[in-house]
Amino acid sequence: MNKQLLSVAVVGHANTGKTSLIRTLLRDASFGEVADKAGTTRHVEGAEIRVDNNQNLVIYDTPGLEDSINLLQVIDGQSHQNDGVDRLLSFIQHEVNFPELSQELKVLKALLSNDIIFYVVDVREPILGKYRDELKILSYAAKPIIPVLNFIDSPGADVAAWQAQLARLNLHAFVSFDSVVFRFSDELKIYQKMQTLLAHREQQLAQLIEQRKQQWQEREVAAQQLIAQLLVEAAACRFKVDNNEQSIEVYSEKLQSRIRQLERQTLTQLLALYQFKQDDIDQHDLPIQEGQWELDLFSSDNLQEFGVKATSNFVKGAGVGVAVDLVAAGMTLGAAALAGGVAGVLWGVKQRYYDEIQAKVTGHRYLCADDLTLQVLWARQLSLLLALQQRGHASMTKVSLATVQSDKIELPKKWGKWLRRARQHPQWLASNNSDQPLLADKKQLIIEQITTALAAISEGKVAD
Amino acid sequence: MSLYQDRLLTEGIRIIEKSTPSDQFHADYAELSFEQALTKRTKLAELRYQIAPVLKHFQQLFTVFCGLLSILFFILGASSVSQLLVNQSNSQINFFWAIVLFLAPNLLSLIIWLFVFFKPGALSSSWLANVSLSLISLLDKLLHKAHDQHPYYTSLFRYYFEHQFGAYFGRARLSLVSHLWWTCYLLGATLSLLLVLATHQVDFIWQTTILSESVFTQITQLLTTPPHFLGITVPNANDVAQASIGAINSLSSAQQSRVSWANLLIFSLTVYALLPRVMLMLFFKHRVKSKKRQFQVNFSLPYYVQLKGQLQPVSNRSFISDPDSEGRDSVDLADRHDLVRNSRFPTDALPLAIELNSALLSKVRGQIDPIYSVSLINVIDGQTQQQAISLISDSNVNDLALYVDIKRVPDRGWLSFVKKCNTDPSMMIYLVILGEVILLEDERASLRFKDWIEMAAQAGIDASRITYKQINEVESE
Ligand SMILES: Nc1nc2c(ncn2[C@@H]2O[C@H](COP(=O)(O)OP(=O)(O)OP(=O)(O)O)[C@@H](O)[C@H]2O)c(=O)[nH]1
Ligand SMILES: [Mg+2]
Repeated sequence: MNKQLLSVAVVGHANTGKTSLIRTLLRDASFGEVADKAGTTRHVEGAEIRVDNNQNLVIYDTPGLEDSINLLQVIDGQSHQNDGVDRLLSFIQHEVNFPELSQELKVLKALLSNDIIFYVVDVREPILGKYRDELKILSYAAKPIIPVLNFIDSPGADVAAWQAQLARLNLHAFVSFDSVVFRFSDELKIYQKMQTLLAHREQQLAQLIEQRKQQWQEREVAAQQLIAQLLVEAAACRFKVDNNEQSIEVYSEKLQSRIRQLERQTLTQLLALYQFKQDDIDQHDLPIQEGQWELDLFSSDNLQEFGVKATSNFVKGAGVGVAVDLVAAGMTLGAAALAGGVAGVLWGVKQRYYDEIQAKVTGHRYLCADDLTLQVLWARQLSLLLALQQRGHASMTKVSLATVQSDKIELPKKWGKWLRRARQHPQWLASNNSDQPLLADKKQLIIEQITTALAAISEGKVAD
Repeated sequence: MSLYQDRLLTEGIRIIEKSTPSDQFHADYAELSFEQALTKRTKLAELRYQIAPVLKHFQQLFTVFCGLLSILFFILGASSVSQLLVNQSNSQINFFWAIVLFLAPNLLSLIIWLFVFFKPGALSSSWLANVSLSLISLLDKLLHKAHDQHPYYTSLFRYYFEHQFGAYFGRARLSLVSHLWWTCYLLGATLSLLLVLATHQVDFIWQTTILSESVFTQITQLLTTPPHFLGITVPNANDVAQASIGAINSLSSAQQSRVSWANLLIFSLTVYALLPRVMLMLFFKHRVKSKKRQFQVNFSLPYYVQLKGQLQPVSNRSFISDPDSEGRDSVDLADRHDLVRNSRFPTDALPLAIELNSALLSKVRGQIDPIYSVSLINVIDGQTQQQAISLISDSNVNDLALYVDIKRVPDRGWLSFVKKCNTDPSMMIYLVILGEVILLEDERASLRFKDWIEMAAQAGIDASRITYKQINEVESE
């Protein structure tokens, strides 16, 4: 198999988060078993990370080294050769004599058979003798080692002490990581460190880094597009109602449920995009249940969470009427007149404004989602996206969405214009059943504008 | 199938699957580039969705639509020539009227086209697109039988024609179509004019009420310069004066003048009107073709990003390379909460701290050193382990009290050490677990506590000899 670019063994003491680290790198929450307990992983388990169509990085999870003091004594007692590799080999030869060290043995084999070692450290721990012995055993294998300092965001983390200890063993090129508060830059750092340690693979690792970056970017843009699309479609959503209270009430209800449904669709897609399965959602305590937001968009609890005072108007889910935008109408007229004769003009007007004009004449009006609803909708998606992006595939604590408040979110400058546009194009939401020409390109254009604005917002967040 | 058609098919499948790609088309995509993998998936999916025939139908529909209108315009052009013949006997053609009739609208529409063409987006959402679309729908209703409709016919229809008239293709397509129709119109006119001239003897005249002769002379001059260069006989200023209505032609020069006027008319029609249109048409035909070749699916759409994750996941395979053969030992636990209150521990035991951090150690030392006869050692590495073991064998104690930190995760290293200490079967080992929190109130601590009890059971420490000490409590005693 010349497909294999590199193989990595992830080793470390029990419960330091080896399996969690791999889950995060693989973006796969179903890899292996994770539990807050020693000895969770008992097999050596490998997985491939795709670089491109003909290269893979193989990464192996190993059981924790638990009894390193004993192990080191045995290894050193077994043979008096100077060479570390020989010592390890001679221990492996006599493995049958030490059934109680069978887990450690697997780790030693993994150490010898892979190209590079990630040594995972729980930085909340003091530097005990057992960890020093682990490092000594690792040094016998004479393989490049990247120490991965895990739990850096947890209370009691003592990064400096560990750094000093590792430096004493000539391990200067460590990376810090936290599988729960995930930062993409940390992941890149791991690969970059690999690059410096494995000079002869530099090219391929550069490719891997490039590919991961691109993937991350692509996914972010796609997620932003989904949110933009939700905004456009929710704004385009409309119902024709009679001009009386009862009818308005009935259709307000329908409008609400239609918008809820749209939000749910987006949620499903976002989760699929970020490869979160139902299990993960349960495990990660996202505010989501069975593919739905825990809090209803229109519930007063949700509004409170986004800092909106539940005015009676809003609770009714109030729609607002759309008026014919005469300026826009004038522009269409102009454009149509340029493009060709009177027939064209009439055609254009009929296409665009027939429904509205007819509604005016017959005493109906259109109900669509008001600005506040759309703002809360927007804020919710933003906070969800942020949560999804910072979530390693190994995290287990609850995200709080309350950090975003709707009176504090700045709306993009063109917000009002987008909403106006969208409201004038009922055909952009399939369930409106409008028979007007689709104008999908125009919709895509708006979606792209909103996506750009979203990218600017998220960049600002990163810069903070 | 061409690349374009493959890609169109891929897009068609996207329309059908809406926002979420189906994950039912399994194949080995790992060793392909994404584009190749997508093509493979499209082929698989097409077997189920069957949309190629629908797209083909749309293509035909479009061709029929263009064809029908071309014929219509051709006929229109052909019949418009009769307009030119001015008197009952059909023997006179008003030359300048003919020029105005054919060249002016053509020129005007060219200018409008140019204007619209360079205004981005104007052409693709124009009335021409709308009219074309509704005519095509009409045609479709006439041609298509409802019973063999594809379940996604309408959405595919919408997609296909939006695609044809939309931002990517729209400008080229609509330009092509409009130039094609003008070409047909002008061709019809030219051919029927040729026919008229071949079978009729007509005189060319001009009429005016308000213009002077010099205007016509100038126009003629303008029109005749290019053909004159090409050596075609064309009317001169003299002929213009003679063609004024009422002027009497001398018979000898009359035939010659007719021919030169006819030459000029046909030349003007073909070169000033038809030729540019034909050239533009060919140009846009080529452009549509190259646009087809360059057509790319927009992979940044969420649908494709999702599909990419599905077809070529970051990690495609995991495997167990060194399996565990023993399985986990599990221990049945007594109700652990009883143990919290169990605080009986002997004072004549040998105390050993295992892996306490310095803060905790000093607190504990201050607390328990007075109780025991020997001072507490903290076992933190191989060396201290040896010390402890030799101390145990030297001091000949009966009981051992182990002090551990609840925050530490008990592991096999701990276990093997305790087993080493436990040399004498009659020796009693007590376990004191130290912590800062109230056990029942802290989820994490109670989880750890459970781990400790499990581990203690493996070390042969009876549950009745395990105690949890809250560290503040230790201090206050
Ligand atoms: N806060 C935080 N928790 C983490 C992090 N990494 C892992 N954990 C948690 O630590 C615990 C142990 O993680 P595992 O991935 O099972 O550790 P392991 O090293 O594979 O453990 P063994 O297989 O038993 O050797 C789990 O409860 C994880 O949720 C991290 O970076 N931050
Ligand atoms: Mg593990």
